[in-house]
Amino acid sequence: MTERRYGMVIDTQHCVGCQTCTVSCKISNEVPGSAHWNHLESLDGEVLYQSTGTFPRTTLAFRPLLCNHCDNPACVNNCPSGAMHKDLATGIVSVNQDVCIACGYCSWVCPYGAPSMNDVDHVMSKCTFCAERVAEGVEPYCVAACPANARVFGDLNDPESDVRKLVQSGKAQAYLPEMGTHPSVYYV
Amino acid sequence: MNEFETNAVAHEPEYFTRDGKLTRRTFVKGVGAITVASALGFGAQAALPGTVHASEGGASAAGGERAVHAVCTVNCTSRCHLHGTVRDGKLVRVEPGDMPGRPGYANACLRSMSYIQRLQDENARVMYPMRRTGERGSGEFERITWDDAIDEIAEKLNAVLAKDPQAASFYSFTGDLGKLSWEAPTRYAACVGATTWDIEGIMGDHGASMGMTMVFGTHRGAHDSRDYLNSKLLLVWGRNVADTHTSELRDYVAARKNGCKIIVIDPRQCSTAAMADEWIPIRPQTDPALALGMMNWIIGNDLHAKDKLVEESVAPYLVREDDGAYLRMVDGSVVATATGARKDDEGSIGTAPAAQGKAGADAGTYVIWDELTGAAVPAPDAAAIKVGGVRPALSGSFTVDGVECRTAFDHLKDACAPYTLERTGEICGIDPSVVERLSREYIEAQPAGIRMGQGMQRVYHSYSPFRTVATLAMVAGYIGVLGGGASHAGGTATTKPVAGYTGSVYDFDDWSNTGKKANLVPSSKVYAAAVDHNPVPIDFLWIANSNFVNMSPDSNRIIDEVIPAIDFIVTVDPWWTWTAKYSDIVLPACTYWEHWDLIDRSPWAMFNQPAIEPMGESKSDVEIMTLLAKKTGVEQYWDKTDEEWIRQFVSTDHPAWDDFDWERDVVERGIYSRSDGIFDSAIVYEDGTGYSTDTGKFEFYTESLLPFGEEVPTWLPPCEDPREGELASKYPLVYIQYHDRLNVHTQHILNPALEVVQDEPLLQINPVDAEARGISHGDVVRVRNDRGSMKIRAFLTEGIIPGAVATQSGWTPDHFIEGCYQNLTHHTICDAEEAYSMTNTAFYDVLVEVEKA
Repeated sequence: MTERRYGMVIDTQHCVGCQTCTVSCKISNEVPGSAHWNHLESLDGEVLYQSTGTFPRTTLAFRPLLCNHCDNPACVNNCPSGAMHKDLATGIVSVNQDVCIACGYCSWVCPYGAPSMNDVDHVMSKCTFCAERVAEGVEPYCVAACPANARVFGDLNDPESDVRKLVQSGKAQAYLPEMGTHPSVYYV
Repeated sequence: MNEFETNAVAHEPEYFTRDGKLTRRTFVKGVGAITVASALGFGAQAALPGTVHASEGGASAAGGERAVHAVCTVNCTSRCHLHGTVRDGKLVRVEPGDMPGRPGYANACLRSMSYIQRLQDENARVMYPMRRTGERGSGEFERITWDDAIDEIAEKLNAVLAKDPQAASFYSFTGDLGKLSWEAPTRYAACVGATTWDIEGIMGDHGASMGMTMVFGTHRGAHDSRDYLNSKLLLVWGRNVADTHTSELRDYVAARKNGCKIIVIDPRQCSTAAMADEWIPIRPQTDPALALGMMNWIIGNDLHAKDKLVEESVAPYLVREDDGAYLRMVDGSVVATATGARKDDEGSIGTAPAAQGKAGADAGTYVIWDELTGAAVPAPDAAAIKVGGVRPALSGSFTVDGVECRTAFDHLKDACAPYTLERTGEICGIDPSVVERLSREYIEAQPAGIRMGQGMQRVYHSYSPFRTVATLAMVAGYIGVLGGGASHAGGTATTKPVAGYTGSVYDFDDWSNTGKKANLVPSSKVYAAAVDHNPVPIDFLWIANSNFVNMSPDSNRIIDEVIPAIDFIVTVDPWWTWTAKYSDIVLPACTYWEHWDLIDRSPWAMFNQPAIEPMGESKSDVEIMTLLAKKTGVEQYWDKTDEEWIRQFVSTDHPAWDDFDWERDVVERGIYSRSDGIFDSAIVYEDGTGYSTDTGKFEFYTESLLPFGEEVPTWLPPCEDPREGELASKYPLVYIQYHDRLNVHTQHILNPALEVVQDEPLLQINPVDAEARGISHGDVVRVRNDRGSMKIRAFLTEGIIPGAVATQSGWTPDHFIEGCYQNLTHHTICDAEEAYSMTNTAFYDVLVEVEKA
């Protein structure tokens, strides 16, 4: 168990699919090339932005995805170089780009499509939960940017945190728990 | 400092706070912005691709980064305060900037964040003054010097000014809403007595203003979006706030979490519908019919707000049966017409910021029937009725001085009567049981708010949607009550005075001194002006802050008729727009990150300043007009630099500036919270006051529309009617546009970071309509009518009402497989609107056919 366990609860009931999360992360973290550390999928359909159901009883809903900073991360478990690692103080899963051999195994095994190849420097890259901001007590870029306040960030080990309360109340559920990675990102 | 705001799930309804403090969203309660990275071991970690970040409000910038500020001044009207980061002279990052006193309002959308990529791309920008060398539209230009450009322009302009100053036109739109940028071209026009254009008509926003002005007397008026914490129900009507006014979305979310049901009424399941409780799909162009149907149900079930209607609206006002005019009495006798003065301000209602006018001076001549005395008496104000000295009849026929009259309310009731649930449902494409449920939920919510959007008013007879929906809110008793209203936002401007102080907040005296005056012409006449020289010729056209060709109706007509009729066209723009390509000289303009400006957004004053060096040889609009002024004999009005203008604007002894510090508030923070703490009201028309109509009441009976049979709210079929006729059989689908997450207008098109969201224009079409035409998802289709066509990929979705197809507004011809959406739209003059003020472009009143290409 890590000292802190940073996690996130994402409110799909109020997500409007604008992708400000995707873009703020891309710009603010200066994610190079075609890599993205956030992405968006339809919550219940195949095609993003396509309503599901049959007119007029339709649904338009979204599932924003990012690294789930799992307690049992498939990327770390399958990384042949040891580049992918989990920080014991924070629970944040990161890739050491000096060690990474860009084999791409992590992106194949991650259930959430989180690791994203930096095609400029030919090295794996991924969401860091904005570790340096978080260390200063500031929210990750995607959280601060969300115009629907649909993202709540905090320490899942802290009984007073909003994320912990949302998870404990049973309102927030992990996505694809059957994959056994014990994610730290939950969805309402 | 209050550094410790948490992202609590529910918002507190703090309407008016002014603490002047900067806040930064943090997630740790009770811990300041202390760097604890080393304690957590990040220092030893391998370099993350992300870099260190400049902090504001204390921690010093690291890694050679500098915190900068700007206000996004493109016309979604949110005008968000942006916090940028500059490294090595380049903008590398944009985040929400602080909103002192209102931390939940800090916002930066995906467009503003990715805009820095495009504005620092020299291939996207106009870098230098350019002179056309090929045919207009060819895109062939040569680089020239600023001196040569200004000399050539001045020579052309001076020749026109010598002949007829009004034949020179300065057409400045909404590409940059900063005071200097927005107003510099029209201010220059005033200096030389040239023509300017009242912009709302051709751009398609004026229907809302007309509808609002008819009933409220002023063209804007909105509840603070935090007021929806007081609402039980919120109807978001024709407004996709999630994409088009994102700074307000957090308040809608908070309201919903607070128990407010949110219903979106829209032909499309827009982004806002994704967070709402319900989407009610409605056929485009039929919103007034739904409002009439709801009123009919409410009145028919005797649930209308009789007291409020009598006190605050013209409902009890007597209307003559002989000519339909309001009955007027002077000194106890009926007179044919009142001779009282008209409204104070007869000027444009299209361009001036929202201002509360005064009720007409003839307000005292209107007449009600007093049930207490059984006599016709002058219409009293709301307060007099409340105390019970008089009881105006809401309904009834009366004879006064031999003149037969009925109440205005009875006229409204008659207008609503045909809108049974069945007929309303049939017109709007809504199940009658849904119309009934909506009517019931709306009246039973107590209170229910309505947020109206311009999406419903880009139709022929465009005043009708806002006017009719607002009247519904009055019939339900929701005008002027907490959690209610029929709001039209789009900018705030507080003009409330400080007690005992008579001076202005800003010193605009020099800026307003232009010697001569501009000739302001309704923009609905701009095509006729160019082609027929009516009402003014256009021999010289200066286009600024506008992609005129791309964003105006019937682009083929512009290119084939309007532009060839104009001798000389100058376009000032940061971008190589469609319009720029049809110009003779193109001048490079700065973006809002590159020049000084002021945004008056009470209770804040917000400032732009050069965060980066202007790209290429680009200049601010003020710098450009100042250069031109020197060559056209009006240099005495252009004697300041941009920064000097801003310094003068804020140099008054008004109490607003008591605590003002230029270095801290302008240079470091970019936003100043006024010391006098003047905030806009949480709601408008509280206690039945503030209506600035001629009657001083909520005025749903509009005398000036009598010649058009439109004196009470009505629904009229669209100009291009899909229900019947030859056109409908040829072109059976209604084509609408929408403003989406990608673009406000054309400025943000394909900012590189937006390509992941969507990288080409798409035609939304319901599978029912697609299957009937053999069209599958992703097929290339041709969309056409008699005016033009476009080739585009089809996006099948159940989230659009059958019979309508839609594309995102703002794409340019470069992004279509062929053609452009603006080829399909039309510019049709509406007589009733011209008589009232000016035609509003019916961008969404367009029929097309779609076929597999």
